[in-house]
Amino acid sequence: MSEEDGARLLGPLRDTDVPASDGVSVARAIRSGKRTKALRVMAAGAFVLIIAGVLPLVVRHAPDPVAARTFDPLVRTVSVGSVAGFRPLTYVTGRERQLVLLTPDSKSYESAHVMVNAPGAQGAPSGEPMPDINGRRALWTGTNVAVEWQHDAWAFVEVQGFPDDRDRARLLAESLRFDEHVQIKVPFTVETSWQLDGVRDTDGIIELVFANDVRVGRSGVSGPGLGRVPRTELDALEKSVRPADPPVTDPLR
Amino acid sequence: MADNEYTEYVTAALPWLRRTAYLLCGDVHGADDVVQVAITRLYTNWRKARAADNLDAYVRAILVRAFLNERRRPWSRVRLFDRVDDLHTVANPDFETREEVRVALMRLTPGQRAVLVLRFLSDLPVAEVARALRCSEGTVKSQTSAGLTALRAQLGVTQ
Repeated sequence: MSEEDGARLLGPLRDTDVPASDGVSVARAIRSGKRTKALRVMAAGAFVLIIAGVLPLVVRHAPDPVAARTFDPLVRTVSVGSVAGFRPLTYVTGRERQLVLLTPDSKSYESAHVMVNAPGAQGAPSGEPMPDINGRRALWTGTNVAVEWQHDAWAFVEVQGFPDDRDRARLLAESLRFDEHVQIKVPFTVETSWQLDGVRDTDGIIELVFANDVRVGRSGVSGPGLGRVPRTELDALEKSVRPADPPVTDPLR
Repeated sequence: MADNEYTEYVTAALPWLRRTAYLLCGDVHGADDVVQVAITRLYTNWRKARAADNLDAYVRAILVRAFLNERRRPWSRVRLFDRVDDLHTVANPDFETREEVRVALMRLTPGQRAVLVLRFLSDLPVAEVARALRCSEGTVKSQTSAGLTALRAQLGVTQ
């Protein structure tokens, strides 16, 4: 086995494009990291007090340092049309931003997504001016389109995989609606004290997304927070899932 | 100020972090989960990371270890992380070849996969792969050989 063998065998993967998704959030990493740091400090302090014989203590979680958020996680306010060779596949609500993932009509590897930030969630982007879209200020940011959908609130449309990505991004941006106010109906309820951060709807398959990065749906739990949450809590959450027929607008018991 | 530096670095690094994780995990949701874990750990260790000689190498090591750690958790194997995106069939020979290789790669052990991805898709030398995986250079070489043999078998390649 030579170096050349490996490079040749794996060569086709060099051009791999990663599909768009909403799964990574820098803001969420900072929030989780701050909580971890706070707990470390508290643990160190508790250890010192134990040594000094000063227990018992009342230990409380550090407050979440998150800035104000403006979206209701159980209300979808954004929609995008089936245009430019794409159709919306997944709608994700969130307190700071809402996301739409689109799937290509070609069923190939092209990708597109729309990220809509709440006011103040992200500063104004830099980019080239372009004509207003539906009366709203718009910019080219590379091949992406940025639209100021409210004062100090920006939406981003990104398309990858076509020779005319920019044209398709503009068409998608023109189809955006920001006033949908669709109350999400969830076909199950759960019992938890965790904070709901959003809802993911993929062709009618609903998952609740919590602030600790755990997701739960009818088929079980998932998400990057699994490794940080005690197994007993995950099991309890999973066991608390109850079907709701008809679906409910408040899934937390 | 440190948060700004962190945000700026991670935002710029996300494309290659997500790509590496996608190559390791085989599905975009698993990849995003691994990246989220990695950038959270990076935040808690940002001061140390910033002082590293090679920040990208430091972060890549966090990412790969996050991937391997997730694979070691028994419930993640059952519930979530062994999902591989389906083999897509489209009339595009290049795409089909890429999908075949991707699915074959997912059938290797996580350790072999990590070595092959880092060596042949991230173009890292043996010594740097060994540092990222916290193992000897000899282990990297033997894992490379075993991984390529297994990959050939999966692909039905004889030479």
